[in-house]
Amino acid sequence: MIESIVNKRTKRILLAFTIFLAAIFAMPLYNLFKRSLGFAGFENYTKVIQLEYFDAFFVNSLLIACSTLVIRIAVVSLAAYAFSKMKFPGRNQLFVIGIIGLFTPPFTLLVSLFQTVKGMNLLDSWIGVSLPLVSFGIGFNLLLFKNYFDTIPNELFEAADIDGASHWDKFRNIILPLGRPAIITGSIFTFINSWNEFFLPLLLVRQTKNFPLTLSPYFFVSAYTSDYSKVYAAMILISIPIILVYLINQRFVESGLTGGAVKG
Amino acid sequence: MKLKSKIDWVGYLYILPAFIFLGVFIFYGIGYNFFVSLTNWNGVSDTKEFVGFENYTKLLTQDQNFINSLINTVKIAAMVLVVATIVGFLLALVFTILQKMKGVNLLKGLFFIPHIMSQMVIGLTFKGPVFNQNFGFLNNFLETIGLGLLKQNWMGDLSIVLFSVGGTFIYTQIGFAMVIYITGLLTIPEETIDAAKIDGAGFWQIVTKIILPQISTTHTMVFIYLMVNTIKQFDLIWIMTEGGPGSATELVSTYNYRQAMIFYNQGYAAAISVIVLMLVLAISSVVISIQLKE
Repeated sequence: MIESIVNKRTKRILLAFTIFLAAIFAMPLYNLFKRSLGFAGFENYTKVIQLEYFDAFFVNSLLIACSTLVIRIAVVSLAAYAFSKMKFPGRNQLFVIGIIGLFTPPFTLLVSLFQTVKGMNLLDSWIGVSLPLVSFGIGFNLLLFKNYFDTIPNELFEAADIDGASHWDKFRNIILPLGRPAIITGSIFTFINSWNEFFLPLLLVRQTKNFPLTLSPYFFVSAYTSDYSKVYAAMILISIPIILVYLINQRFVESGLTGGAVKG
Repeated sequence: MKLKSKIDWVGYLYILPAFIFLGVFIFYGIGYNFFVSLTNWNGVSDTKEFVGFENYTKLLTQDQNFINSLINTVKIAAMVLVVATIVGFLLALVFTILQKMKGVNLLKGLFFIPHIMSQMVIGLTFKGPVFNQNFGFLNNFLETIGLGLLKQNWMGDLSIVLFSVGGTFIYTQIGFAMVIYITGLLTIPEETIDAAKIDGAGFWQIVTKIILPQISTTHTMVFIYLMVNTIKQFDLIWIMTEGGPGSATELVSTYNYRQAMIFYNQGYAAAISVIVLMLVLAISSVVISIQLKE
């Protein structure tokens, strides 16, 4: 085991050094927190929450994150089941095409995205942000889900075939319960990424009342001009849900980072 | 079993919803972009004049700003690849060694949190509380430890600002590299390391002769992911500098956005997109071929 390559004393030194490094790493965020308490202390936080648009920003972020999550996980689970357990002509080629979006930078499609969403009459709405957002995450999640579904034994499906189960039955009774680790990991990633999404709203949302939290600095800065402590308080508030989601699900997040594809 | 060789035509139905999304927003987008890149469209008017490959020749031969944005992107990529890979690997090694200790997971989480937080928050944090010339933490800290000479105008000095945003980006990528390396390190078989120990190999020998070569796929993955993350980078730069001051921190992404949404040269912007997209697809096809081999 790797852990046995150093002795106890060295381990303690390493631990001390890592704690020191972690303290340095925490400094920027600690300073953000310190600044957020400037002038009025925690009152900055209550002021931000009471701000007329804060509820709207929060609701918009939640709508974008939740709708993206539900749609993306639904379409990816179905597709990953087919790619993992069904046999049809062109399966492997279609899979490669399906994950090609894995690395497509959203900015390279900005000209067409704007026109497409405009053509759908969805500019300036949360759903107009979620629909493209669903597409950009399909590649990563498809890889993650298929890699995991591949580990579910084929015998289970053959046994179900003998009982006359349809694909839909097998999807509901085998894939959904046994594929849960992948589905949870994909959902957490999708929630975190959509909550943090900055580029698509910047491109597709214009009116302040439709902003998600990630665009809120543009409003707060103009509303407060010199009182940056409230902007920083808002930054802390925006981050809390994400940090909580991560800490509660730390194991899932860390294991799924590469679509479950790192082996040595 | 005869059952297995049967063709599941219904499979197409199961992959259809995903392909509708990909088709509408990505595949159609790529085609549309290519079409627009052959015109001089401004993005608003009803008419598009066909100009052939003029946008491409102009971009690649005359546009100093584009070349500058490419150079900046490469510089940031180099910084991130060197620093995030080395620090990420060393942290991963330490956390794998300490994995059985209490509280280590939380400590590890601290390094990963900058990666999952909104880049908007990280960007504003560094722009003000960390890098501000007068009240920022960094200059105050340098002053306190007696290195006041090293104080800088981190966000304003043209020769430094690229390093400031690069450093901020590195801050978000170290934890990412670390977690991928941990996954890789955990796959090294016990026997390999035990055998080396019996042969009397020391710590650094085990690290350099056994561990580093054993995780070669992980190195490739970290390298490619970090490279693609850099090409994708837009949020941090836009929040911190919008590509400025001047064009000191202009990346390909911010230049593309500026041409499309601020200068309204959408035909020209689409040509930038096509070039970047081809670059990224070339890189990602390498990744896909590696992942399919698994």
